Amino acid sequence: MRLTSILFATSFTLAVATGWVHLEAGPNDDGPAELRAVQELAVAGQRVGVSLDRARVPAGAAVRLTVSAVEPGAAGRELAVRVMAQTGSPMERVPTPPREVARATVRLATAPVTIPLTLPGAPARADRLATAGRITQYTVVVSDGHARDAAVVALPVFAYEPEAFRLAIDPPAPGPAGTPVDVTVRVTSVADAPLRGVVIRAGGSLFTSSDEARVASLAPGATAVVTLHGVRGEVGAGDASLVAYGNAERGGTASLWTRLDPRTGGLTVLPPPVDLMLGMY
Amino acid sequence: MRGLGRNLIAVALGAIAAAACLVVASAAGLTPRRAAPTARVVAEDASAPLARIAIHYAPAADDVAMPVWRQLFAALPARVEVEVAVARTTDFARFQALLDAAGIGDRARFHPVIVGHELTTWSRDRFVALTERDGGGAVLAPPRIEVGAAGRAGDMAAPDALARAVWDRPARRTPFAFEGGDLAASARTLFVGAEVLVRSRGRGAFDRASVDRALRRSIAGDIVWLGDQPGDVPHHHVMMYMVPLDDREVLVGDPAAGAALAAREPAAAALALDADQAGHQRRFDHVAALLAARGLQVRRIPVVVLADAGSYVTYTNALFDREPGPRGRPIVYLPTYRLPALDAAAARQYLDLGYLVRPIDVSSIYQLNGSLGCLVNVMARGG
Repeated sequence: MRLTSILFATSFTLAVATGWVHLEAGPNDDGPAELRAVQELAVAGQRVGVSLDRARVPAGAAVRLTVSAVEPGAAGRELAVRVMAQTGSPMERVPTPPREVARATVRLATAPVTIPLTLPGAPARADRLATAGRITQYTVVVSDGHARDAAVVALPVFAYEPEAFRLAIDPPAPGPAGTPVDVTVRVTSVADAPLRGVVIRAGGSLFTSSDEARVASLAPGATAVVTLHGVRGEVGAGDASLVAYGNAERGGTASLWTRLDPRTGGLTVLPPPVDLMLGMY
Repeated sequence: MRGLGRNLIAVALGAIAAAACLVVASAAGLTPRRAAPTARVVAEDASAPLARIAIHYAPAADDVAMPVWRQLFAALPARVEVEVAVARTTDFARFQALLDAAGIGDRARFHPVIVGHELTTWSRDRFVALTERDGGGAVLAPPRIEVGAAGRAGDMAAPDALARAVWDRPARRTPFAFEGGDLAASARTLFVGAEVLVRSRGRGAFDRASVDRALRRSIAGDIVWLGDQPGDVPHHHVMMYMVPLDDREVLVGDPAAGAALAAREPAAAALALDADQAGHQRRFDHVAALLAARGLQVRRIPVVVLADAGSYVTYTNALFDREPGPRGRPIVYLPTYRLPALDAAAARQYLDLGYLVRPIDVSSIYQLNGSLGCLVNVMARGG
């Protein structure tokens, strides 16, 4: 019995020892699902909180930058604030390279300090349609000094230019799935100059269509009604969505997300599907 | 006899118990050393034929992207499988209808990947595809970060959807943020643009050294950094300004050559060049010098940096393929811009290098700050 135990222990030990040196971890550990901006800065040995009151604003609005209170020993010390801007449209691959658009200084105090930062949005152009719907991504960079390798807080905030037109969808007539159906979309200009070449499309789980309608010209304030032909989806299938999108030669893009209410046959307007957009509130 | 049997069983049980312990230890990560990575980023160059690509189809981009898809899928051989990421099933139906209307055949090569979120048309940016020695692959994606548009947010869900569709497992995640375009590979070398350091700024301690370490934990082969700091090299994705032709030779854009050709090209008269041409030249030249210092043969090719420096008339942002077989010739699907003098000069350069040139007119889309290579994510080569 003793020999059996010894053989078991020897076999176990040898196998573990041999196998152990060949054990390897996987090549990497996965990173986090999200990587949020750090909102703390080390200043003179203290953790200083830095935050913005909003992450998304209409162009021209201001955000408030707040730096938390510090111990008396760090009070009076100055933090450098730089605002970097990059402008793009939702369709563009990348926004323009970052450029510094504002500088400020925050003096640390024993009470929280707040300063407003105005975010003007896309550079002004005489042709306002050229900037309709554009997004400017600002990065508010707060650092303890201007050294290139200084620790920084870099907070993103987005400013949105108004769109030049808006869409509305008439509820489609009820009918069996798989049958032809027309969807009516109303296009209203909110621009102060004529829009040209507005192309409207629609889709969603309720409507399959390769059709598109083109509005050659749309005067300021005017509404055009277009009809798109397609095939009806099954009510209750998927997200029961009906989505219209439009883009103008000049004047940006607009879209409208709706969901069919099966009880009333009406369409409920949904917010854009921004559930993935971190920091949205 | 019975004693011998009992002893043999004891030895066997000892080995089995040891194996069980090792399996548990391995699963728990209690391992003595980290495995060397074996995966490589799928090469952009023409080292092997295209086997599988991914695209995003977004109906809102039909006007600008469909002209490119029509040309590309007419030119691409049917052997190339195409994963089509779409927000919803009906979008894929629309995509197929539009291809049918354009007379594009071989529908079986197009596979829908339903992401469930609005997308942009730029598939190159949200991940890089990896290839393993055993022929398998993976998708390497960054963590999500804040973005400004619903489509861009939806793009961040595409890597997982594509990884599950192709490799039946979710995407792997880097600890740092990146855009797919920040990385470009030849068969053995990964080129990393310093702009990648901007993506994680203020999100943790991600300097060049830590990003380099994280990449080396996931990816085998050489890593060549293009620049030490953002701003050393062009503020753009790598293939907008350079592309590896193989492990020894690279093409780097030359803004001066591009501007000179543009000045003689009547069709370029309406294009506004960026004001900082000297700065762009310095950054492109820096890329060329860095690569030459690494022992790579550097060839220059015209590039035009347009106003605001988002849009380039670039000939490095191409799609590369190779004819199958040992004598297969390299193929470039070359973006063209309806700028005959520039387009012809770039085509001639590739022809002189032995490439079959398949021009793809991207004039409908390039002023949205991307080109052909930004629309296509190469997921696998071989065959």
